[in-house]
Amino acid sequence: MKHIILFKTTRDAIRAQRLCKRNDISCKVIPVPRDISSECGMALEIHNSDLDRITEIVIKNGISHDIYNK
Amino acid sequence: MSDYIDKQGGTYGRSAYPRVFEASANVESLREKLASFLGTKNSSQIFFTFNATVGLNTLLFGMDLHDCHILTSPLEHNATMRPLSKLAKEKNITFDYLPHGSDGKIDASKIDSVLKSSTRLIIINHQSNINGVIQPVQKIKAASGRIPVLLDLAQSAGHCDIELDNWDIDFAAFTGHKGLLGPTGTGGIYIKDPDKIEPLIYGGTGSNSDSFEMPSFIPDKYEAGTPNVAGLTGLLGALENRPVPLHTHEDFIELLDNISSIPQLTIFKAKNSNNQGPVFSINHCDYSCSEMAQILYDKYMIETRSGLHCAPLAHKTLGTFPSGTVRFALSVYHAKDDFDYLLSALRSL
Repeated sequence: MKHIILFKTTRDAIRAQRLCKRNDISCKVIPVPRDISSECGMALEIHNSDLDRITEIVIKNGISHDIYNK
Repeated sequence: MSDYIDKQGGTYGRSAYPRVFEASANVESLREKLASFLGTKNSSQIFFTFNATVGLNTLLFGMDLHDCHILTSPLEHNATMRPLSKLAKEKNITFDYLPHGSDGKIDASKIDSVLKSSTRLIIINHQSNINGVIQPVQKIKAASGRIPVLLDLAQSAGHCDIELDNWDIDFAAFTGHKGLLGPTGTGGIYIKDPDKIEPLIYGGTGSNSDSFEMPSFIPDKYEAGTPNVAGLTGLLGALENRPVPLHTHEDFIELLDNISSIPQLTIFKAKNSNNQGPVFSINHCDYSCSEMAQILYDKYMIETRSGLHCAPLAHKTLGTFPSGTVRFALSVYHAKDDFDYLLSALRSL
């Protein structure tokens, strides 16, 4: 299973992507899916196995986010 | 920057394809870099505007200032004075100038004498664009108690050490196209507490798109509309490739001392060389400032700016209003040979 992480701002999406890269966590930048949000920006798609690590990292860095199952 | 214009392109946010991600990531890298450059750990509290003037307007009109008193330095630019004048007319605001010496340097020890119970803001032009005086910000802040300080960094950023956190500065505005060596159309503001400032510009942010209301979260609250991504990419390039100055402060002070000794000229500079930034002005006993600027360019290809430099208050303080001065603004690319050339040109006038 995969998850989609949504952020409030472009800045937060970019910070989160950089944190994933720095921690060797695979993620894909995708358009925010229309069925879960009206935003027109970017979201991150991640593997289920990385969810806990990513969640811990973004919380530690004060990045506001929402997680959805794909 | 040329790569961005010729090959990359892409806006900030609004989509997710790689060119947009890269362009957006560069803008965020710049935000981090600027924070470090301006001495703050709070990169999230830096917001991009198109120059310092838009930044100062955002701050002054976003503060909900009314029925109060404001203090400014005696060397302010019209980027501050015109918004203040509008606020004075429409919002019952009065303002006074901070106590200062003849070169406009603020005397922090006398600030008590001008503070009022209604004083809500102190505005300081960190470095004058006329005579280069650098204001003692730390002392002014210490003498001002809890009154918020707004720092105009238009002239000083890139030339002076700036420590927004250590100096406990509340608001600041900067431009990218002067000492930071970036392109025109770039700049920004720093806000210690973003809850205190309403946005100046309203519009699309790529976030909360289902709402007519501006987002309350940052940076989107202050960054409606597509930013100048090409310019911001150029500013990032400039900050990542800072040149080594080709002259020392001592070389510059020696130049000023030599110019001071030319009998036909009056020089406008800081009294104390420790407070001197890389800008100064002169006047000639026989030529107007515009005539002098024309001669310097026609005979020596020396580029200067004559007149009032959008800073009538500063010229009033220095006694050069309304005639103005010829202003010289040096860059890190000027070497001692250039100083010798300038000195020889001025001696021949």
